[in-house]
Amino acid sequence: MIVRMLNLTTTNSGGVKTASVDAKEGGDGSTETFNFTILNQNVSITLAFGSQEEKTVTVNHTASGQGLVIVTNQASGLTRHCWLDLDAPSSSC
Amino acid sequence: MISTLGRRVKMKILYPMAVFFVIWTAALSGATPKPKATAPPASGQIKFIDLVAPEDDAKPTKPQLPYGQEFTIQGNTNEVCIGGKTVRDASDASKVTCNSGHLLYDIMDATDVQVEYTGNGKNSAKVSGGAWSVTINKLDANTPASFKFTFSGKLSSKGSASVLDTLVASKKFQDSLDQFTTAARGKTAAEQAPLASAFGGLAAEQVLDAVSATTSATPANADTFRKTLSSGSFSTFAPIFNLAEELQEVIQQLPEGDLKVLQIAKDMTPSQLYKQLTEDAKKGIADSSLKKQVASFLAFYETDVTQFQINVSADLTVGAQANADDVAADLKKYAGFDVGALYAPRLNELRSFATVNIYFGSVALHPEKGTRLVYWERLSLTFGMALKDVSGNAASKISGENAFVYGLGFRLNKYFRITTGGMVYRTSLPAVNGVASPLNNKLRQEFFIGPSIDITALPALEGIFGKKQSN
Repeated sequence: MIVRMLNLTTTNSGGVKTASVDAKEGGDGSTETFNFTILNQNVSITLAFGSQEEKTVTVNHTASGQGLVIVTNQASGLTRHCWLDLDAPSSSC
Repeated sequence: MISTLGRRVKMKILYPMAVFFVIWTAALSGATPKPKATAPPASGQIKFIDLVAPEDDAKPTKPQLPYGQEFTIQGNTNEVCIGGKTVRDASDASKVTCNSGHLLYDIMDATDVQVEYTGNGKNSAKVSGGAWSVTINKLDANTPASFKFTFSGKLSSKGSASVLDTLVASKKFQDSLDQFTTAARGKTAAEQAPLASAFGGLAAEQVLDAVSATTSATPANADTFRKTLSSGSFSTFAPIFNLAEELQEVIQQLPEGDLKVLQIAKDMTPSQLYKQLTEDAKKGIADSSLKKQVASFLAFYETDVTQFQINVSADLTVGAQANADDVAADLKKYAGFDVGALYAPRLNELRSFATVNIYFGSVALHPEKGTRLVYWERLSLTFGMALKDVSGNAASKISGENAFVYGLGFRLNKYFRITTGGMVYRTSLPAVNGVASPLNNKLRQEFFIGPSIDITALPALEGIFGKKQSN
């Protein structure tokens, strides 16, 4: 199960926009689903984590402007809310 | 058998001295011992710390304020207590602590100070490096003076951190935050903007409340600050929102084991968390992921608090007030003009007299308020005239009714004095059996004693023989 999520970050590199979060698996490994709500866009991704593995979970998006970015780990319920600038080269909290 | 000469010596010297000694001793022993006010400083500079926290708590004595001249009150923001009681540091008398309040230095980077005082006086000055000096115009002698110091400037970094702590701990703020995130979730930037603006307005209001509650300072440009936060500006809005969320989510979602390792509690304020996590980071954290999270929080806190302070500093001016009161020094007098009645025992006459009483240096109008030793405040050399018999003596021995008097006066209070000494007169003795007395038309002197009133102590005449300035 995911025990920690940090560094929710958005990037904008020549029109390619991403949102990412660093996640840490606290157990022996599992398959985890992360739901990103980037302003009005919902993007989900499912990844396999090894035992105690730390990984940066990244998704692409096309939203623009400044606003609320949310990422939730489905299994643990861990959530991060950040107010980010999606058009900036990098924005994080 | 006592010789005639001996009797004369006794009457003219020893007796007056004995009487005066009794009066003096009675006055000295009867005086209530109380702390003397400190004389006005010769430099005309009053230290703020001496007004609000006089040294020696057992017998606190404030300095007397100069009268009749401009003077300055000088201080430092690290000795101004806002919303509490100033207390001198027991180990270092040059420092103060602020009980139940805040030192101005801790909450504000003051740039200006304005002082309003008794008699509609108002002056202002700049604060430089915490130090300030304001000019006070002339005060009247012996008048109470109240000073209201108003400092203005920006919140200090410590003050900003305190405000942020109060803000984040506020249930009202947390409820607003939850409502905002729920409403903004899944919306476009254009749709979120007015919501952010509304939340910014609420946050501004709560920051302003927190400023007042935390620092006792009053926001001076609250409307401008509200507008700035309501504008939805990213640099203004994001730090407040993100720090609040960081605390709510990261810290609140930490597993119990991590809380124990880090020795933190979920109800800690942001600044307490920062302090403890800084300690943890210094000691070293074995779990690399937790270490990364702590480092992230610390960096985030530093960035956000700095940004918050920049925003608050840029857009919010605060004011804080401190009060002090004191009394201007008593009017200094060089002399007094008295009228009274004297009694000359050997002549068995009660006569009116008028004298000038010259003090040994300048003294306070009210002897009990003087700053010199008791006898120097009360004792005076006396010279004058005994004018007329008021006891109905039909055959006065004083030729021409007038006599010169000299001696010492002792002030009992502002108005009354006991005077004693010698009365010099030319004799006017009747002839006995047609033979003129050999003592007739000779200069003689007699002991006298009597009370008098200093008419130059009357309010309308106080200025006579008075010093125009206390220094």
